[in-house]
Amino acid sequence: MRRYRTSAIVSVIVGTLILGALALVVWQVPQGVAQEQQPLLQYPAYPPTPTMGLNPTQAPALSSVPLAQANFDTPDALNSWILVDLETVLADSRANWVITNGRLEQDETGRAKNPSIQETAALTGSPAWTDYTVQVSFYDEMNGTAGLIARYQGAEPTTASYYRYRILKNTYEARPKQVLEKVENGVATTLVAVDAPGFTERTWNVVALTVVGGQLTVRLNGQVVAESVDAAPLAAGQAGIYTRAIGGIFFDDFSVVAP
Amino acid sequence: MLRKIIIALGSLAMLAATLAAPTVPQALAQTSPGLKLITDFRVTHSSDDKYPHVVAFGNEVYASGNADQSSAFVWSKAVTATGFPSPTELGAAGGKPDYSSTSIARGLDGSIYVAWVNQPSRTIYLRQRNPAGTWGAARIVDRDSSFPVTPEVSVSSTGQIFVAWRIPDSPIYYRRSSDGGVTWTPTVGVGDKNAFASLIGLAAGPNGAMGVTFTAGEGDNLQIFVGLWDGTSFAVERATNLGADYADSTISFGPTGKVYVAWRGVADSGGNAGVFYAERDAAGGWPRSRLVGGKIHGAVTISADEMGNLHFTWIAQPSGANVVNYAFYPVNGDLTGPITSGYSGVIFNARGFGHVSNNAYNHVVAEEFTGTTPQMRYSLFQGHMTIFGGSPVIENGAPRTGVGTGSTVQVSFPNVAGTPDQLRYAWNRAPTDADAWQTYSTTMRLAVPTSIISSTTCTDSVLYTQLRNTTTSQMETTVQSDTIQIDGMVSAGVQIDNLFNHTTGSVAELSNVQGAPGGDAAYTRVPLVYLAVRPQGDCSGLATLSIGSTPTTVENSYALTATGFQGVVPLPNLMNLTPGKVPFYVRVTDGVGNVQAYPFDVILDEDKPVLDLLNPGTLTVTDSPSGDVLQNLTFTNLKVTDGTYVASDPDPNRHFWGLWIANSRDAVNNPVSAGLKWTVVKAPASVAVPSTAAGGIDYTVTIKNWSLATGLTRAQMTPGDYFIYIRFLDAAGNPTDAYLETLASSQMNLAKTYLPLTVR
Repeated sequence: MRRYRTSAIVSVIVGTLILGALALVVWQVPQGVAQEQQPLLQYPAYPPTPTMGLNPTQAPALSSVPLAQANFDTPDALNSWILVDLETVLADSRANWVITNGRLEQDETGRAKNPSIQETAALTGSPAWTDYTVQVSFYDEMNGTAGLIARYQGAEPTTASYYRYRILKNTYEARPKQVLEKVENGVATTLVAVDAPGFTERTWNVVALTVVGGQLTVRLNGQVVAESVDAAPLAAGQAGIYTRAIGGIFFDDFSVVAP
Repeated sequence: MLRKIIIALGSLAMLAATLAAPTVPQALAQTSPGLKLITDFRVTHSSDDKYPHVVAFGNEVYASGNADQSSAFVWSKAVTATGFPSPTELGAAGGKPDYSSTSIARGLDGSIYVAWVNQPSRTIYLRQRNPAGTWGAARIVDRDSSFPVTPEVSVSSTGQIFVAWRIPDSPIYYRRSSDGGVTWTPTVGVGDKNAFASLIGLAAGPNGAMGVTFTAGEGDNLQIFVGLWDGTSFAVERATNLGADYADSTISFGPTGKVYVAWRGVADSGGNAGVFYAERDAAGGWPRSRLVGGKIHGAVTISADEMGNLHFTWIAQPSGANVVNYAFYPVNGDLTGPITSGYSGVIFNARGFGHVSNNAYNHVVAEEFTGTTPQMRYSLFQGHMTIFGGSPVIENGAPRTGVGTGSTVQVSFPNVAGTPDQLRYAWNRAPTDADAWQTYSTTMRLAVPTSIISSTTCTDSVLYTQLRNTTTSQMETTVQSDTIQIDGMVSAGVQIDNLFNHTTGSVAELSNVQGAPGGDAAYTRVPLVYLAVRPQGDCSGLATLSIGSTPTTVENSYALTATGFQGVVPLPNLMNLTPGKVPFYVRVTDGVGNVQAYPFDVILDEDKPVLDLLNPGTLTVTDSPSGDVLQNLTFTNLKVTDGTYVASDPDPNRHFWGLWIANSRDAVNNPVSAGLKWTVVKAPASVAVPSTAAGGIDYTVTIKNWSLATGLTRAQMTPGDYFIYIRFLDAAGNPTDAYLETLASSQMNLAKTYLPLTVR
């Protein structure tokens, strides 16, 4: 009995080794020349970059009617979105918006993924929306520009009309860091300019733009940062997210609620 | 048995696993010895710049870019300067900056070329800056394209200008010019593949080589394509393997004609991400290497410098923020890097250019986004190659020089790198194996060929040198040179003369010195001579004039004017003068210090010749056949002696140089003091004739056509008798005290003059 049990154990161990070795050989079948090519150089060692972390918790509004909500958890989450470039660009250089790990990512431009400073937006909702609050969380790794769009109307993005709030990261030189503006037929007029501050990179920020009649209010991380009254307000339109096609910025927890 | 089988199978499996296991990647460099970031700064006056380009030549670096959404500009600076001055505006480049970009290239002669698009007018322009630094007019390259973007310019080694550009959904197009951009060949496509929205690479190589690279789709992927010029068109090849997306390639040629292409993987991670490059092999393949992995932004630049070192530039974010990265592959060393620029942030579209001046440098320009507009950012990296050799400097950089001892010039090497121990050189051509190697020293004298020294064309000569170290076998691969104008000699005309042959200026004051106003140029009866020095196209101009009794003695100096010097000068060594031969040197120097001593022998003769009145010889006066106003005076066997002067004459006993003759209508007792007008006549050579005495030889001297009117007034010229008085002169103009008197009769028949018949 003892000799039989020992031989069985040995057989199992050897068999496992054999199977493992075979698996290793199969896995090493070349999948492309590049995969076999190890880099000739290595970058210097750098401190690790901060991880993205969890999205900030969103407190539900007590008296609001949700018009739209997007968590970008699935690849088809963009099906109801319109992705536009707010400047004239060539067809093969359009901004890329993609779903990455459950978040909406601005991923540079074109198939070759070249970064560009062209302005771009992801829009959703109904052209008939009038009064609402559009809100999104964003995490910036490099892009440096984030914003919201409200009451967007127009078939051609370069001549559309909408309200836009945009904010720059603190490490950009440009001033003002925050601008609330009204774009009519593609021409922007500043309603509010805030010289500083901007936002901090590599942390989650929440920005919200409320449009009620001619009253416009911007909140950043829950604090009012800009307010304006437009005597000739835009009537209605879609809501959306704004940035530049530099890549390196992520959006999540998008919502549009009516007051 | 079973156990044995299992053990055998297990061993085989372990062996297979061992062979299949990937080797541990051996990175070539964990550190980057010798690579340095020299400087990094934002370029002023570059707001709204897109797709900047850079090129370097000699000690200058040039950057091109559009700015202010209005114009194309070029910036220039010295290689290691830490800032660009304000740029030069080249022309309109309006509209969206992405579509009105520029490109820059250099020609072999140092010319700089900039091409750019003015998108509002859909026009591609070109301007050239010649080696002297002057920008030419803007030339139109193309104005027929629907939407030309991202032009690239390059100039072949044969001087042909290539400009290529992209039109969306079309192949790359290009045109060529062989006349500096005045005319262009028709627009032609590079192959038939539509180029994708990536940058174009265009570069020139030796022997007329030209290459273009671009991104285009093939199958399901973006691939890198390379077009190599075959003399009439670009032959297009695919440089990447199918199965992944690649983009943003550049191309460069090494000095021996090797062609390199670099590109990036589009993927953010995995085996197809990173920087790749390939050197085309002899079979036309593109075996590639992978420089780094990870996400890469924008173009990857590969640039081969003049010595064949490779410089790589790309943007990546290994630290979490975009930085410009630089790696260096020296021609005789290991690949090292990367190191990064000092700036990290939102930076795109870097372009690098490698070149060698006093070291190996890589110049990089990129777009730095500040939140609203991009601006150009410049970084300068230095490789770690060891430069060998140095440029010669002739005579400390003087524009012109004479030649020193042994017909040589001083040559120094103030910035030599390495330790050369031998040199070879040649003038006005590169040295070859026919030119001997000689011992090198930092400062040395090199011979100048006679053909250059004696040239009077005053043109520049070029000295070419090449250094080597015989122990390490290092040798300059490129000969160095310096240019200088060599003025090898004094160019002047110098002559002396008997001062009594000149009747103006100070000579007039000497007219009272007894003697005739004339004589042989080499003789003087006073310790003075007439000196004339005239410039004859000396390259550096005549500088000083002096006289002396030896070639190196300076006893008296005289000022030179633009026309030289003409005047009376004393004989040298006045205090010790004795009659006879007096050594006389005229020493002239020119502007570069060449010295020429002109030797003369002046004979001081203060003694008068003596006419033997007891046996003076005979004088016969006969009418000239031309008219009896003219008389032929024939002297036979004249007896004139002189203590110093002996004529070079058939008559060995001739001691006179000339005659001093005066006419008179009346006989005078003392013609010397009678106020007659004496005329100096240089005596012709004596003629030997058989003597009337048996076996003898008579010597005759004939003054032909002596005019009886000489020295007389018109009123005196009447038919009748004319007295002729003759004294004899030595070469110094000393006259005999004694004289001959003779009589001639004349009807004053004037001499007939025959003119040629003129027919119209």
